[in-house]
Amino acid sequence: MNDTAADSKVRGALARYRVLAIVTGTFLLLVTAGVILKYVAGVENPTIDSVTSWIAIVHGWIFIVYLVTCVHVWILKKWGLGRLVTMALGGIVPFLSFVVERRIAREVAAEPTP
Amino acid sequence: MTRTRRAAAIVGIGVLGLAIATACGALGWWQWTRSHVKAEIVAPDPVVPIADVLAPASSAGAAIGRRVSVAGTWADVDAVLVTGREVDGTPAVVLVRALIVDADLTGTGESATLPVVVGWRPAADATVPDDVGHVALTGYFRAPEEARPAPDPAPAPPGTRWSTTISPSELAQFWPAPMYSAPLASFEGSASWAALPPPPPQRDLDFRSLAYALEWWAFGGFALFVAARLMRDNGRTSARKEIT
Repeated sequence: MNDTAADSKVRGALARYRVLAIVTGTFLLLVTAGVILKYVAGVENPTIDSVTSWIAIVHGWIFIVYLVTCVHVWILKKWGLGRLVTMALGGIVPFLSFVVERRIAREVAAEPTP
Repeated sequence: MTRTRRAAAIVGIGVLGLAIATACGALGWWQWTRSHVKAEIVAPDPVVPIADVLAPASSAGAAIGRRVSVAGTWADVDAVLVTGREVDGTPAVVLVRALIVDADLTGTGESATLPVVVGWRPAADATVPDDVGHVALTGYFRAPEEARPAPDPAPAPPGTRWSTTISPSELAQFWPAPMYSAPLASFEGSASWAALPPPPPQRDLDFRSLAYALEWWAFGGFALFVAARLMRDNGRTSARKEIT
């Protein structure tokens, strides 16, 4: 495989990872907001409860797609296991997916092109 | 890295992957069983005073299926004969009466009207309510049914009216306010009305728990995949190193 083909493969994988990082992160924030409303602010609203739990279920499935995109980039870049764990945690810890995604994008952009 | 350490790393990754996959599998199995047994109609919780689970004129929600004790006086208003039911294969008529719950039991300090499903009789053999006066009874809250137009223009037995539904919002139109929003199915019945047999546990699938079960299994599969990939890559690198 020549370098341009490999590069475009990495670029595609990174783009998919980026989209999923943003979508997963957004859903996670919605779930977090719902949980805070219920358990911190003490809002008792069955509608909010049921909307939150459905968003949580959808987030779970998006998270699985997100993991697939993480693994794809991770395999292509031949990173270590720790990096994969950090990327996966992005789908569970609020805001983390945005931060990790930015860091990875910067790091890959800074890599010397062969 | 030496060959033995490399082998140890591969085994370690394999064991870790299997452990995570097993944990995910077990969590998925737990959700799977939950999705099947959650929908029991009569809750196993002990019998408690009515005020502990439901207040008059508030949404029934979590009270449905709970067993409660209550005392009050049968109201001097029309009872309802609900037609079109079936009990143990017999066409049945179900008696629903208004119980004025004692003011000190409602939790609000004022009395309130509780629709009580007293019991059933064969449809051909409908009769009038029998008990009068003050009673203490136990029962469980049923889910309220939707209001439906009254069916039968035929004259009902004295002191009753026909209906096809057990709907507190419909009963509220001719029973005194405030009303409880869910009907209580009595365990005792009365002299001429047999208590409804408790409904069998419903084996409804709960899709939320089912979705969680599938997600856990997907995570387990994911862990196995990553472990397999890491083991393969480790093996490959070490093989390459040995060649060069």
